[in-house]
Amino acid sequence: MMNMDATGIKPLIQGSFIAILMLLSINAMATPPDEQSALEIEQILDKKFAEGQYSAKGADSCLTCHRKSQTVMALFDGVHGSTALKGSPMADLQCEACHGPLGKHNKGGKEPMITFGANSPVPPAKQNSVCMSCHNDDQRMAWNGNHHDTADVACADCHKVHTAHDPISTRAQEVAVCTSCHAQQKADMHKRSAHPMQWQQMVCSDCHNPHGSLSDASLKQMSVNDNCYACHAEKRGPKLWEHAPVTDNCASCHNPHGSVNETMLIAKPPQLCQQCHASDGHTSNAVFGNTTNAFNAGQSCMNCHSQVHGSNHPSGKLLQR
Amino acid sequence: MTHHTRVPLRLSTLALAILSTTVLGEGYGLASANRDNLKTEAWQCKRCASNTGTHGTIGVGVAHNDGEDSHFGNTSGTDKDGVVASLEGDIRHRAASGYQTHFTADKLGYDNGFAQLTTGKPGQYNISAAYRAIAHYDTNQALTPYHIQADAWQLPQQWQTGATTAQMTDLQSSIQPTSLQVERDRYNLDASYIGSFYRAELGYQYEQRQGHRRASGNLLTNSTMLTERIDDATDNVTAKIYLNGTNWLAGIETQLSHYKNDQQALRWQSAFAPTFGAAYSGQNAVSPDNKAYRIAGNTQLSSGTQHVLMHIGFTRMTQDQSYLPATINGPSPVLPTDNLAGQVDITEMKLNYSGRVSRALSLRASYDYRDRDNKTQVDLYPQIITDSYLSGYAHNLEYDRTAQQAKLAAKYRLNRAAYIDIGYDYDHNNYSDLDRQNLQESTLFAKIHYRISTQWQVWLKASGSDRTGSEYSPVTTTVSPSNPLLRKSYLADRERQRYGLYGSYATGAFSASANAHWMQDDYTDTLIGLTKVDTQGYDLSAQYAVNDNINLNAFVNQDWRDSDQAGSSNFGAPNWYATSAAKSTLIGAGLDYANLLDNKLKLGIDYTYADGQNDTEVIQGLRSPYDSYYSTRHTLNTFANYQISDKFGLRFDWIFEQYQDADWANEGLAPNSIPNVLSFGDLSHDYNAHYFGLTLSYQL
Repeated sequence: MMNMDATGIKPLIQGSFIAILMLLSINAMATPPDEQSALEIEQILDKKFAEGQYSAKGADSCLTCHRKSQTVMALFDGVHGSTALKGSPMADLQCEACHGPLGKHNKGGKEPMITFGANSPVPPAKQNSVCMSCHNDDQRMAWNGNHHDTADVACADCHKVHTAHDPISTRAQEVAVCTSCHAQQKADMHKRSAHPMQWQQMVCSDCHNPHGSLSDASLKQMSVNDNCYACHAEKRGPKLWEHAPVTDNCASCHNPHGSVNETMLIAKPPQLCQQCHASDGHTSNAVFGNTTNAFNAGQSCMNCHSQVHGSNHPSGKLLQR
Repeated sequence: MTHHTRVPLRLSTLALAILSTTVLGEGYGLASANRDNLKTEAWQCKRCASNTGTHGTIGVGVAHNDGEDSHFGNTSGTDKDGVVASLEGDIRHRAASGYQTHFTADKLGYDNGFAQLTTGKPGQYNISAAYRAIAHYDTNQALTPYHIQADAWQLPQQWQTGATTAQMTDLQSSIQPTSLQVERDRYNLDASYIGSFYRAELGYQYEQRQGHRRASGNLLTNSTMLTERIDDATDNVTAKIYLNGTNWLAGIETQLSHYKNDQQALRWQSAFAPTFGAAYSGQNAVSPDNKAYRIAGNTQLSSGTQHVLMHIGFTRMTQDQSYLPATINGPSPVLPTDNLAGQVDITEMKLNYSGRVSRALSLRASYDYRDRDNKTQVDLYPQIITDSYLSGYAHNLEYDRTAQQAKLAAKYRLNRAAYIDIGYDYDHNNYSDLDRQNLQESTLFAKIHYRISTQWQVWLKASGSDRTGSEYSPVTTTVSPSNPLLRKSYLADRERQRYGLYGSYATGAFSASANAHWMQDDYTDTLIGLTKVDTQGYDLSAQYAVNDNINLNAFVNQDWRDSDQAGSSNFGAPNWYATSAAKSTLIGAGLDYANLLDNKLKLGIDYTYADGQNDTEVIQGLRSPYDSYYSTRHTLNTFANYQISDKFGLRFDWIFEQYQDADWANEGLAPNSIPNVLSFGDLSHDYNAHYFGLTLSYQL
């Protein structure tokens, strides 16, 4: 398996796209039967929310039945369960701030309340509207229309409120949560060279804002290079002799999530360099692999042109100084 | 407060009146709550728990780490060979007033240790101090005859230079293994305050880097691999303030950053006999000190389901480090200035709209403008090639770029279970001093997402891009002209197709997902250069909770990247071709077993296998495959956590790693294998390494 032949797998990958497309075309318009009841629940919740029939005793009403649940009571370990904190739901509408007005739920528990998470019948956008009504700040101002919002990711898919400490705010948990969907990035960070995410020296949110940003790929800075400069300020320059693709986009040569090549390069030198350099001279020659020489071994092109990120040496035009 | 909100509110009303033809009161936001019938007199919260006091654990650890090959330190967190101690903790104090203090530490004492102390009243103010170390270990087996003396890499006194590395008779007796590693220490101090209508934040970060990295120095056609010393620091100050109202948020963010390098140059004594002249040593520039500041403003306007975001930002990056001389061998020609007046200004603007126009249809639109204006002074600089001879004079180039991006997308919900997302992106770039004046890319994408049932969901997405630009006209500022058939890969015409497929199944205790992706880049106008890249892969993962105590997980991922390129050794039509076939396999499995031995023992085992290779072949009449390039890693990460008593716990960690890699660029190489390159020798790794750790924890 470890030496699985690519020729056998690749047609399978391509064939699977066609098969699933056909399946989607047949089924996409049909509403699954269990979704009908979800729609009814949502309509009831809309009605309840509009009517605003809040409980007579607030959290005490809810805890009459729910206080035996450890999960419910764990709310009081965290900020959302604090009555002393201004802005906390427990300091306002208490349980009903998030779960909506009680209505007749306490009459046997059959009437639905607003619930959260992947198994909730409440659509993610409506779940998120509860969280966003308090958490609309500069970190989340680009939430609407961002990748996760568009993909129907609910806040509760990643976050937990009924706890002293939201697990995703622990670095090891964060990477695990992100890579449960972003599987390719999980594979990349295990490759020969990668930013140190496998053992959580770095985490996804060092570079990305999962709540959306104004930049592509929800990067925390406004461009790929600005993001890299946040830790690699030495590359920022400006230097006297710039290497144009370097100042343009670090990702022209590097894959920041990891690569089978050293230093996260998308390809190996000298071939990587020869994708842009074919001048009248040594850069145009085929560099054969049968014998080691100054062009293919050691640092390859960088044996001489070592200042590939630009040089501030007066004689550094050829990036040799 | 009303005084502050009045004007922006009017603006927001005006802007959103245009946009919101159908305002839907979607969602259950607190601001929309109907409080007409709310009576809170009897809301006493008697049953609410008040979990105040100090809770948490603190632990001390002692471990034995196998540091024979420092590369294992990337996994274990330290390259120390032997015993290493650490501190960890997770302590939380909560007062009845809502005041909280949280201390967390992990592996403190290691090269990847972490600690943070946060105190304050959530939602009102917060102060945080943090430390974080990051280390990267390349090798501890780089062979070099050099030692540092008076800020220069020097050879032993008895060193005999040679015209080739084979003639360096003292090499074998002089070479010593040296370590290549970079360690970062980052310190943060942050404070935030939330007022009734504003939020302010102030942050300071100091980051220091120390270590050595691979570098090279060359004199004419002779090259020497060197260990470049890294000893630098970056100060970063950020401040921001945001004001907010019912339907708006606006703020200003500023940043000052200062990079300081304690190294001024990379200077070395040549191991080679001078070919001509008297080039006995060489000197490379290192990263110069630099500064950057940034100021940006953001405004968000919302009304129901309509949202507008506006951004404007300005960044200035400057650098004025004193120049090194044009050469250190013989008299240096006069330079036009003592230092570069380096300045790059970046101006950016963004307008972003997202909104729901009906129950089924949402729209997204954005316009992005980013201008990089290099204002560095242009002068004529003498070019002393590798501290050896004057080849002439050259002007520095000011690379400018203006990027504009427009995006339009629509998400249409077919029903509660399915939606389609389609969009169009247009990317326009203007360049200066490059082979193309402008480059445009159009991308169309579509995604269909279908929740077949509460258990099953699947999505398929596809996109197609076409990149083209102005006439390709090779730059004339280079010493050697480019082959006119060359199309530099980042400027070339390109057609890109991309497909992704995802399916998942989740029911109760079991969940599984499958992903497949395929991308093809076709460089349609390229005869010389990169012509094709084909990337594809898949992954499968599954989790199963056997019962409340046992959790299993497994995953597998494979991906491939195949690329083709062409070259011409006679400055004409293509007459050689290169192929590169990269492949990666990742397989993992894990088990968590809790509540063993009367609820006192918890076990965890994780195994991962990661294998990657990249096969290169160059064909010019004859096929010339390169030697092997691969890495293979087996990692076993296990722990056993035993609760000795109510207060004390003991954790045992065992990490085992078997790692092997090879790179044809240095595999089997001795430092003198290449006549004109004095290399570090073979830098391959091949090790079995263990880490055993014992941590005693105390529960507060």
